[in-house]
This record gives sequence, C-alpha cells and structure tokens, in this order.
Amino acid sequence: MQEKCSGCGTEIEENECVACEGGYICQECAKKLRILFPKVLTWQKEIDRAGRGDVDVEERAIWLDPLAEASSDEIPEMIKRADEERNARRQHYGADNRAVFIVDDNHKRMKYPGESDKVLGEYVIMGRVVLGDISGNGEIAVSRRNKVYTKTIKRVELTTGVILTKTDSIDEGNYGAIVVQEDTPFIYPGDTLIIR
Amino acid sequence: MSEVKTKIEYLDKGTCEVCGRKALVVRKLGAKDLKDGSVICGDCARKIRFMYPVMYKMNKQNKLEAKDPIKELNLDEAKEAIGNAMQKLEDMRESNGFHNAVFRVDEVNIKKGGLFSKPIATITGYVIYGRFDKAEYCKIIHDGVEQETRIAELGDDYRFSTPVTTIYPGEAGYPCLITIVQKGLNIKPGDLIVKD
Repeated sequence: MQEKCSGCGTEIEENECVACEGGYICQECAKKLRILFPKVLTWQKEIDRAGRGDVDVEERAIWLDPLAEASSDEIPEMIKRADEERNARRQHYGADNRAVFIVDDNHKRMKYPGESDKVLGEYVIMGRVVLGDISGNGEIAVSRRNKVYTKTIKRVELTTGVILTKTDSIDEGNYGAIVVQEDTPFIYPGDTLIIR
Repeated sequence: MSEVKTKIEYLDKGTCEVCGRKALVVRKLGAKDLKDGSVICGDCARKIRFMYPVMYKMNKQNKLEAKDPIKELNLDEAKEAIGNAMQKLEDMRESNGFHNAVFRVDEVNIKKGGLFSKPIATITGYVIYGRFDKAEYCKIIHDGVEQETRIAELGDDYRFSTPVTTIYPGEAGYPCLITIVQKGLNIKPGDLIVKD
C-alpha cells in the first residue's frame, strides 16, 4: 500500500518507512531526524505464567523508536530543527570533519565460542555518532592535553544491543562500534572522536 | 488446554536523567540509583568512575564489601561530575606523566619458578584511570625505575566478596588482579603499572 511521507511528501511503500503518530516517514527523512531522535535501547524479559509459577522465558534487547510518538503534522518542522542542530554541531566540531563520535566504552575484543582468532587483538570503541556518517575507512582523532592521537579505522559495526554486526557505515544518530587494529589506550569513555 | 499467559517486564530503571537513554539493569550494564532517587545509566556512571572508585570495607563476616560512591551523589552533583570529567582526566594524566592508563599495586604474591618455569606474580590493586587488558605490554614503575612487562592474565580481585560490576575486568575505578609471568620482576605494594 502506498503512503505519503509526512516529511517530504514522496510516495512510499508502507513496509519501507517508519510509522509515526498519524502517518509515515520515508527512510531519508527518518535518517535526517535521527540526530534529534536516536533510537533507545532497552531490554525485555518475558515471563511465562502458565500455571507453574513464574518462569523466565526469554530476555531480549529492544530498540524503541521515539519517532513513532512524533506527530505527522510536526515532522516538517522537526526536519528544519534537525538541520539547524546539524549546522550548529558542524560549527562546534569543525565543518571539515566527516563525522563526530562520542565514546561510551573502549575495550579489547574478547573471543566468543566459535569465533576466529583473527578478532583477537582488535580494539572496539563503542558509542554514538552525533554528526555525519562513519564508514569503514578513515581516521579517528582525539585531542589530549599533551598531543593529538590518531588511528586508522579497520571497520565499523552496528550494535543490536547484544552483539555487534559488520556494516558499511554507521549513520548519524545511531549507536555502533569503531574497530581498530592497534590499541587505543588514550581513548576513554566520554571522549569525542573526530572522524577525518 | 490452558491458556499460556506471559508477562513482559522491562529490564531498565527508566530513563537516565543525564543522557536520556534507558538505565539498563541487565548484563552488568549497571544503572545507578543516586542519593536523591534519580537514576543514571551505566554508560554515564562509567564516565566518572575514575573520579569515584568503588570502595571496599570489611564487614562483620571479615569479608570485604563494596561501597559505590556514585550512589552518594545527587543528580546535580552527578551532572557536574560528568561535565568536568574530561578536565579531571586530563589533570590526572598530566600528574601521572601522561601515561594512558595507571594501576596502583596494593598486594603482590610471587610464586617462585623452577628450573624450567618462570615465577608467577599475582598483583592486586586498583585501576586509577584508563583500562588494562590481558596480553598487553605495560611498564612497572618501581622506585622510579621503569621495567617492561606483559600482562599474562587479568581478572576480578578474588579478595572481595561482592563481585565487581564491570563487563570487562581492568576498567578504571575498580580493583582487579593482574598476573605476570616473568623472571627478575621488581615490584612491591605502592608501585605503579602504567600503559603508554
């Protein structure tokens, strides 16, 4: 079934768009809005109460989409606000930089059962892209008081909330991981990484 | 056939009042209840953990019990601490000779090696800032003299009755146990292990 995007008015397929309150948003407009409306991770536990007491059935990660609660009438205005926010961040971080990433965690990759030894020795920097998109090539830079440290990006991965999966890029507003081959002990939780 | 009833529970403590993400309580993701009843997520807590290391005190059963100073903060104090964290981190780095990670040695046990085996040192202490991982090269600073070494194993400190709530042992602000297998190791309580 064809619907109209509440943001740009283009015709979209219902199964290829993001639902909002009273309408739909195309993927392009949703991507523009992620800077203001990042998805939110939570976990659910399903408890089976089939007459044998409470039995934990399953724990799973769920991504909540705040765009689902946005009113379709407000979408064009929100896109304008998102553009303003993007420009403000470009000014703040420097317009020449490809992207900006805020670090939540930085650790050496552990090997899970069944994984190849190749993953050992990789370093995983988890966090959120606050400006631009990050692809699997480029360089990360972090400014410390004594010097600016740089490392080459090996690849990027998206988080499902449980595991990380390889991807071509992490889009603006999304959570994911930057994987580098060498140790990055100079990167700490809360750091701002500039992607060049 | 009886109807299977399931109940869904969210494994979070609501929204983090600093960053707006869900304060997850699953898989050691560690949401923190603050003194005034507010909640911050584990990612925000991790950013200030080096300023508020987990403390331990002896309980009546003669075992060490954890005390988390972040839980003694109110929301305004937590926000201020997060806002100042990078500045504090830079100050700490500068006062520690710009080492990327620093571990303070509290206890050392060295098991003598034999004819064909090297001595094994089990070292307990605190990660002051930064992080350590196993199979990484670092330096011991003993009486002002630096000695190259390599961490053979890294794990939770066995002395504590309460498990440390980190996903990866070796994080800033937590005690941990480092094992080094090396001949001629000069190390004593009060020394530092550093990573550059």
